[in-house]
Amino acid sequence: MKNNPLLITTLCLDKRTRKAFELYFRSVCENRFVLTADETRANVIILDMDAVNGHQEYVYLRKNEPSKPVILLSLVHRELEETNAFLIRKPIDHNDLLKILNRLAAGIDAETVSKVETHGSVDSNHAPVVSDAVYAANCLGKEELVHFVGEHADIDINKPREVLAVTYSPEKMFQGAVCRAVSLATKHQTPIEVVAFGIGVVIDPAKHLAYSAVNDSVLRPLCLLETEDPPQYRRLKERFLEQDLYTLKMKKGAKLTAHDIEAFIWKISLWSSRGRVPKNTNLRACAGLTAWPNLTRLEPIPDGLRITALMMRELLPLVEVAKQLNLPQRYVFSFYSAARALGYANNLSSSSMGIVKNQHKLAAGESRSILGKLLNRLTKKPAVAIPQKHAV
Amino acid sequence: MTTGNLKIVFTGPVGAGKTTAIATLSDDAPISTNESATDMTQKRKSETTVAMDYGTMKLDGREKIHLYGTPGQERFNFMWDILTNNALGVIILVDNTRPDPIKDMLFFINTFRAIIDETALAVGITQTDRSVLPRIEKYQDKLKELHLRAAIFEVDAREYRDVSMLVQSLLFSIDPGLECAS
Repeated sequence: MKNNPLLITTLCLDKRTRKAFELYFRSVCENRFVLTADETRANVIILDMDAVNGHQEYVYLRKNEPSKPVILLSLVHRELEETNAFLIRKPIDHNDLLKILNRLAAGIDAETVSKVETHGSVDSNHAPVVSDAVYAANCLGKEELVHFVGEHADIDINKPREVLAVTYSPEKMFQGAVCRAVSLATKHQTPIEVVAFGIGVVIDPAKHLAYSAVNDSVLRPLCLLETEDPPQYRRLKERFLEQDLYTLKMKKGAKLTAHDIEAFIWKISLWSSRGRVPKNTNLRACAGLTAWPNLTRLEPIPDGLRITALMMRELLPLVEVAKQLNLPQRYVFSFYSAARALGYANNLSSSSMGIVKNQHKLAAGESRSILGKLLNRLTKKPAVAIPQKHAV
Repeated sequence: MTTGNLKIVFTGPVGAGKTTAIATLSDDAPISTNESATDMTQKRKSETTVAMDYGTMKLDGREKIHLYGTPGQERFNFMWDILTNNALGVIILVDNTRPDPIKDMLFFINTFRAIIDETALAVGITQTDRSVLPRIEKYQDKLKELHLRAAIFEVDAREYRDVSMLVQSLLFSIDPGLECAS
């Protein structure tokens, strides 16, 4: 093989990129590597996994030519099971590509070639990255309530430091990535895959479902992390959705779970909020709801019904809602954050919301007493949470 | 509100789950005045309520809340006014598998609008497992058009938790500060 050039074919690359490779192989590599259009003659395949049909092509290749080395180009990290598959992260570092091609050209036994993920340089001693998700999954053990509403004490909104302590930045977190994916999927009416913190979620707007291959014990601590790295979004084709979902499942080797989109956003928002509000929330301004969230199908939070009823009745600052209902502020803050993530809540003036303030008189005296007893009666039988998952 | 004879009225089209919801909440076996269905109703169910359903929820002390279910067919609408007298509020159940469930909801809101404006309203959408469309957002949009700030939930009329939350939302709409009586 020393005198014969390594024949390379490309799949799913656009013309311009292919031309760039051709030039590179001819000039820098001095024709040691040559592009060919004949896939059967090629020794190596270079495949762009980010292309629309990239994944489908890869599946086809593994099925029909399992022994042929494949170099995958991708923006995102991908777990590779095969020993003759190599991943080069974009933007491509030509030195990384050269090292892999030289090894293959030297006829190294495909079984002994390590899987390499390059993100700067190829390093055979490269330690596997422990994803934030796995690390976070090891820090568990609090009650469900704390996961949703946290534990911090009420704040004084006149003290900026205390206010800062109860704000968070959903746009930098898993919540923001998923919400953006839902927004894109709804806008374009096409499935979207989002990868953030090493976790992939597929949003299917047609079925109103979000698919994930990790369970709550991994997702929950992940929802507290922030990052400056932008999430990756990929449009999926409806007809390849089953395959993409299969890939999502196989990456994690776990059961795929389908969640109702609203229930999923509600839950991850509560986990992300933990009794806090989004950073741009004006705690002095009134907050209102445009509609009752579908509370029978969402994870319950303490006093969710009462908070909703008051916020639907009149516009009040969030701290005032907590005060009137005699609740910890963090219950109201969590509720507001989740409702806002679903588009039900915002800081608005009464004129812009067009509210008809509820004119019903509040119950008093004897009426209140009997209603209190009715409430007692209704809440006696324990409520069983309704799961919104379907195993796939 | 006269406290002695407080009632909650369940209304809605045929087959929406009114009888079932009352049975779910009622402490005693509810009284159900059913007959074999004759007309179009027959395609939806074999029996239908012809006068009303009745159940009770016993409270601490000897008080009770009366649960009334109106017959769903329009030819029994003369009963509706009678049943809503002294009502705490109205719960409308709509069946999401019907051809136009939003129109159904609008019909019953219009029919009971006077009592709704005086008291409270909650809407339960049943059978969403069998028909996902229309989605709840469509119902919410309609309520906004009518300037109604009522709760609207997906419910399974057989599930105590769902029906209980619907009634609780009715109570909290009347008074958000309501707490369980000690």
